[in-house]
Amino acid sequence: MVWQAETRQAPLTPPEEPALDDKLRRQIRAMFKQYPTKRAVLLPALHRIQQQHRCLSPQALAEVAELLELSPAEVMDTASFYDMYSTTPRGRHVIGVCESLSCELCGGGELLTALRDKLGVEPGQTTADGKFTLITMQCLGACDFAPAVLIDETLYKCVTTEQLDEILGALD
Amino acid sequence: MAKKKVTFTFNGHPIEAEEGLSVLQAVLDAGYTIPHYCYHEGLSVAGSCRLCAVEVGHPDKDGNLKMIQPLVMSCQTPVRQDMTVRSDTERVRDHQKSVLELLLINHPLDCPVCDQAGECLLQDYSFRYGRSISRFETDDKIKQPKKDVGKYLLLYSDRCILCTRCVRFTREVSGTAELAVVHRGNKSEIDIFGGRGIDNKLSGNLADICPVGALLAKPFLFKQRVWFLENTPSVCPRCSRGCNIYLCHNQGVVWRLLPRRNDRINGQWICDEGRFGSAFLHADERLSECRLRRERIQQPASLAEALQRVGEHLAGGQPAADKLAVVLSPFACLEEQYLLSRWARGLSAQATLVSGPVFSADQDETFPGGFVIAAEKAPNRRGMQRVLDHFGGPRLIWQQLEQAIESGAAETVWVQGGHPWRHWCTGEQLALFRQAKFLIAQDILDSELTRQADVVFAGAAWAEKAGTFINDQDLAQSYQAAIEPAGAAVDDTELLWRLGQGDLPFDRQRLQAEIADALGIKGSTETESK
Amino acid sequence: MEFEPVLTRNLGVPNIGDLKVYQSRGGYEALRQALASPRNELKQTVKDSGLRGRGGAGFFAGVKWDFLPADHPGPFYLVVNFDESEPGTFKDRYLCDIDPHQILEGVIVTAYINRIDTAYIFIRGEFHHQAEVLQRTIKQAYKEGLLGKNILSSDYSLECVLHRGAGAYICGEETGMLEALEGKRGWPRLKPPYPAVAGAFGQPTVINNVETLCCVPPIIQRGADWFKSMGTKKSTGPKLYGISGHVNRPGVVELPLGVPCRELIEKHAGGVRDSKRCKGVIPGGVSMGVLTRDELDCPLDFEGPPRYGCMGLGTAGVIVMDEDTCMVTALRNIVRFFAHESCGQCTGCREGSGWMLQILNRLLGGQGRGRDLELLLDLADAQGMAPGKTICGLSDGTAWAARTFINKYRSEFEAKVSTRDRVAV
Repeated sequence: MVWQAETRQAPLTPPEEPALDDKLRRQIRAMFKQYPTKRAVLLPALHRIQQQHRCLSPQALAEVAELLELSPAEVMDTASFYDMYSTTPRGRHVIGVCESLSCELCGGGELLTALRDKLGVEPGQTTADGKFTLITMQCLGACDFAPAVLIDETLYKCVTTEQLDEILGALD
Repeated sequence: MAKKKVTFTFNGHPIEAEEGLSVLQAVLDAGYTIPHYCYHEGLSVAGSCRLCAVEVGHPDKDGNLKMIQPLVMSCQTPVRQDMTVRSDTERVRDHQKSVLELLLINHPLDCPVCDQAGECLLQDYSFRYGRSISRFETDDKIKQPKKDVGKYLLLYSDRCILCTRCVRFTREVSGTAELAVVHRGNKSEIDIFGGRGIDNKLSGNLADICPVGALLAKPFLFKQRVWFLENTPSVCPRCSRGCNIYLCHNQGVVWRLLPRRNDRINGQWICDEGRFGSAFLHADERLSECRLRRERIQQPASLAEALQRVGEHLAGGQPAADKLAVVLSPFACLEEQYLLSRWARGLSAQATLVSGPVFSADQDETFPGGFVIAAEKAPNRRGMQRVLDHFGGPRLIWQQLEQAIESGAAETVWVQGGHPWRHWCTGEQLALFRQAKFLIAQDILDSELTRQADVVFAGAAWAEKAGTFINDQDLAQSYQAAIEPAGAAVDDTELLWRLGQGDLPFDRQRLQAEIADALGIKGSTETESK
Repeated sequence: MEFEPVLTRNLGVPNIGDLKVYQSRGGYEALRQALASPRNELKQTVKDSGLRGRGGAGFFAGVKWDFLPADHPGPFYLVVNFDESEPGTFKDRYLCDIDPHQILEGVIVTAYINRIDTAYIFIRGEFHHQAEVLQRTIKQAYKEGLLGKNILSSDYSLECVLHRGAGAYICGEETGMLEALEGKRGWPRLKPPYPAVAGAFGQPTVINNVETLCCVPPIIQRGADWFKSMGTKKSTGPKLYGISGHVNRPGVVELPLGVPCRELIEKHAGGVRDSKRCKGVIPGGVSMGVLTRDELDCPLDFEGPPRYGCMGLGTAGVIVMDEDTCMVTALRNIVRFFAHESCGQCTGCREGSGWMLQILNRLLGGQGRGRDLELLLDLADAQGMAPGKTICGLSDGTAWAARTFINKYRSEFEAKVSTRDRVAV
């Protein structure tokens, strides 16, 4: 790989308008008073941005860095650490199959295989129509309802392969 | 207030150290070694590479040694009185082997094409402390392309061992935080935020502190194998801070500059301008021989001929010498400034001494880690001032020279150069020198100025000669020549000695003693090298 | 004597999430009582009760509070560990599901005892529903004067902020959590300094698990002796046990500490499902190691599991595996988890867990090599906080799981070494 050099310095194309709208900025600033440092607002801010944009674009990261008086690299450092943040756009619905031990013992693996077949994508990928992104997740803390699936913000308990069509069908 | 000292033993050797110091630092200071990667004295303690593990014990109430069960990291463990530290136990050695084996599983082992080879801690430690074979028998190494991360830097992520020294440096020392760790676990890597490359004036230090071949300086890339380089201690001439450096050279060529530690001045760092600003040493425009104007045309001449010509010109005695002005250079060393002034005043008490131009930024630049780039972009303005003050008499500043020439008060002008850039003298000043009846240029780079001179002395650049600079803290620092002067150029101090003393044998030590005495300099500083 | 539930006392009460209903069941009475009592007495009571942390390490809660510097001008912080992420663990989620105000009361009482200025409840990001519930609960408490300035007209004030994590198991480690709270990557810090001295934002900080905090109000109300009357000598009080895997009735049960593993499975979880035999049981989250079916007499208290070669009680999240379970696959699942969750800071954990996963994958593919089991055990030894190999205890989990699975089910692992290599050995 020594002969390849990835240029990381090429400047971003300047956006036509800011990634974070005024409302989002206000929401982020409103959280400053809850913490002794601005930086502490980073996780909640990233949650809000991702909720609105479905991903964390480089532009959004740069703007939040400016808001919190951090370098963009520091924001990227934090954002890339956590599983829930995605820097690539995801589908309208994110289907997270728990792959931890209790769920695997109770059929989580079969469930994942079924979802792969139904959606025609591998974990980490998004369906061509942009509707679903399939991911695997670490223990969801729902081992009493194994196998568990988290779709967006809703937990689906004791899911069987037979139920999948119905569950997917109900999502717009 | 001096801190309390404690005594402990390391592998049986007694060591005295300041209370509160880490075991690792105390051991290193005492001249022993514990292998380590993430620890760097100039940075905060990360404690993550886990290589500097030792076994530690303390005497119990009855004075019997009680060893602590877990290994401890010597970088984060403070020394204590009567502590026993061992790095020579089987448990520590096994642990070192294991850490090194783990660090190599995703390493490309491309030492033959890696610049770091020869000064690579992964190489050195694997050889000294590691296993001779790896049990990682698979092709599934994590491979990443190298990245262009800054004006002066390439990042070979493949070779990175995630010690995070570089990340901490940009956060703690340069204060610019361009580098980050991204992702986590064994997918972690060092990166910049896309489009925001490493852009700080201390970036070259990143290549130094990287213990492996991950961060490499572009200007040095594939230039030399480090084992061919000889390192000569020197002082950086790019600003009045006078950072201590090593000139790393081979066969008459300086290939790179490295910081030489001096806690009173530069700590462990130097700036990029100094580090990457020595290309002028080997520029095509270097003056390699003296020149004389004969029949309006400059022609090569020997040093003796050039000296003779100057002598002839001033042979008229007092009237000519009264109208002699010598421009001292802030890039010249103290010895040169002194000898030139002494020569001029030896000819006439009325000879004018002029302080040469000093380019200056608005103010010093101070970085969060305490490093300072001085505003004055010359190494020896203070020395120049001391020389001028010492000799007294007619003195001018550079801007006043114009009037002196126009009024005819200065007919013969000797200009001392040595600036690291060619056209340091341009425009009006240049036109001004055209009015001088007789112009003598002592410089290192061919320029408009030297081309219009009647006599040109080809001088040596700082790396090619010995000398002394006085920095912005009034510290006098002497340095040695690392390489031979270009072509037939000569050490300026010797040149000026011959100018003034004729054939008297040159004795640098006596000269330095005389200057120290005359200028009230209490010897040159001790440079703390590690 | 029949065990009277403590933490699950309000189980099934309709609308218990409503403040009025919670109060009608005696809720916030402990807080009232606490606010009228000297802090030292309250702390002494908790210390006397022998309450040990329910988050995994089992450290004495009252002793932990004692580490706060008495002469510090403040602010003091309480960080509530609701980052429940250990596979097999769901007790804190359950507490929030059945009785959210109980958590808040525990937070406020503990905060009062320790002169806390602000409490941050760090809840794992995937608990969307529980975060909503708690946010509502906090809002209600503010409205009713249970949080904010002059709580219940006393001179004690407390701010409470819900802080959501974003998907990283390591943030369950105290100092990883503090880093996440401060907006950084969740890299555990070097200790010392311990959080009690320099924790959140560099200030003295108490960090306690949700279940631990829920034990505090009942202790205040009913005394140390009452609490000690439950459980064993060194493991006092009630405990929530989460049971999952191959059992008929997975869920959470509250029992005095020390219930034997077999009893928990047979009596409280309806036994192994499909009338199968049990093959192995993880006693307290996947980092603790495994008990074989011959070791089910193990009492599930803080001292029990170590006697059976496991690391400890952990979170008391019990995972049952039936006779058809492939133990190599189960270990691969666990190691995959730890490799995924390794923060990447320490060499042993970062590189070791990934390597172990590669080896387990090839074993499962029938391509195991002759020395693979020894190599796995060696790599396990290269990790862990206990032997000083890593900064935090995450990789102790990898190590204990690998050691116990391989040593206790060795023949099953050996069978995965490729035939060729097996002959060679």
